[in-house]
Amino acid sequence: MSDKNEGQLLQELEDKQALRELVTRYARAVDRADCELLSGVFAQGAQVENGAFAGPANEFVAACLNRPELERSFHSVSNEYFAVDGDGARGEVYVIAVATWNKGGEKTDTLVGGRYVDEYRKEGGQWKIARRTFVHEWNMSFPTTAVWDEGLFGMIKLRGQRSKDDPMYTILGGQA
Amino acid sequence: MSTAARIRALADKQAIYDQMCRYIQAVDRCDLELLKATFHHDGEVIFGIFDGNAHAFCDYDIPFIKDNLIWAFHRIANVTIELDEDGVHARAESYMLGNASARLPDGTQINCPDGMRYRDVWEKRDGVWRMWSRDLVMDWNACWPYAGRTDGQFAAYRIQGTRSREDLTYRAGLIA
Repeated sequence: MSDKNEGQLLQELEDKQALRELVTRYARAVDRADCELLSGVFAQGAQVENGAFAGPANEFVAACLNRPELERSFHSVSNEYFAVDGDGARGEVYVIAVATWNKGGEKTDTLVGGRYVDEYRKEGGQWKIARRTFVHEWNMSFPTTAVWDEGLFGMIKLRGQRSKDDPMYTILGGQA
Repeated sequence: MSTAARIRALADKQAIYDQMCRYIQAVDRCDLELLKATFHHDGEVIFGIFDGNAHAFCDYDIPFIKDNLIWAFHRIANVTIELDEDGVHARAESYMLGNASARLPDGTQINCPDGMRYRDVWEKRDGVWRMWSRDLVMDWNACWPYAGRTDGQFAAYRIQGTRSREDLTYRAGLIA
């Protein structure tokens, strides 16, 4: 049982909602290769450790967006668990990242399952990621078999883009 | 923001999220009436397989799914909901990492996992949030050999999802 009053409970619900939106915004930013959006999810001095990269978030943003071999990515996040303590929070988020890589014309799909173990900080009333560490669990690689031009999939004409040409920019604000 | 408005915003996002899950229930169980109930009657869709009135889309989509997919499993995540200041409109993105089975023209059964996103505009009328528009954006798909089995350890799964009112979700009273 909780000994928090209603005002504190409401605040906690809002904080967890905002943190879910924050980790989702990270996924949207990397999948759309949106530098501005991605920069905005990190707190001042934030640190990132994600596979081959370990260092300051601003360097991670630049490295993340400079990946010519990455054709597309799809970071599906779930199991968002947050422990909030005032203006700080810690959390764990599950991710399945699907990506298509084009290395010298040879295309490979990778599926990676893992977890983000995070620290968050509220800056100016906005929750930001202060530290993000990726924990790898499993991965799969397959030759790309995507169908874009025929059959059922070929009928679907709206396509995701790694740019502001993505269809979602017509409805969502580019809030940082 | 007043306490009442803060509670209202949380409840509105939860109500929209619930309807997003309702939409998936309807598609995976092939429940036409449930699918229609997630849209306003004068809503619109751009799905590629069908563009136009939302309820006409529902009439088209359920037979289309039955004809083209042996089974389907749509799993949503990454829900972003932006509420408009008028209190009765919202814009939303959700990720869908799904799996389905289909048959090629030669009869071969395949697995076709896919990564899609929904681009929505929601409207609250008479206290109920329904979609005014939903568009389908394709990010990824694959055509893999069908690897599902019903023997060995898998024979122990006694309850199989179905596209009828016999499905456990109906029997549990979760869909009227």
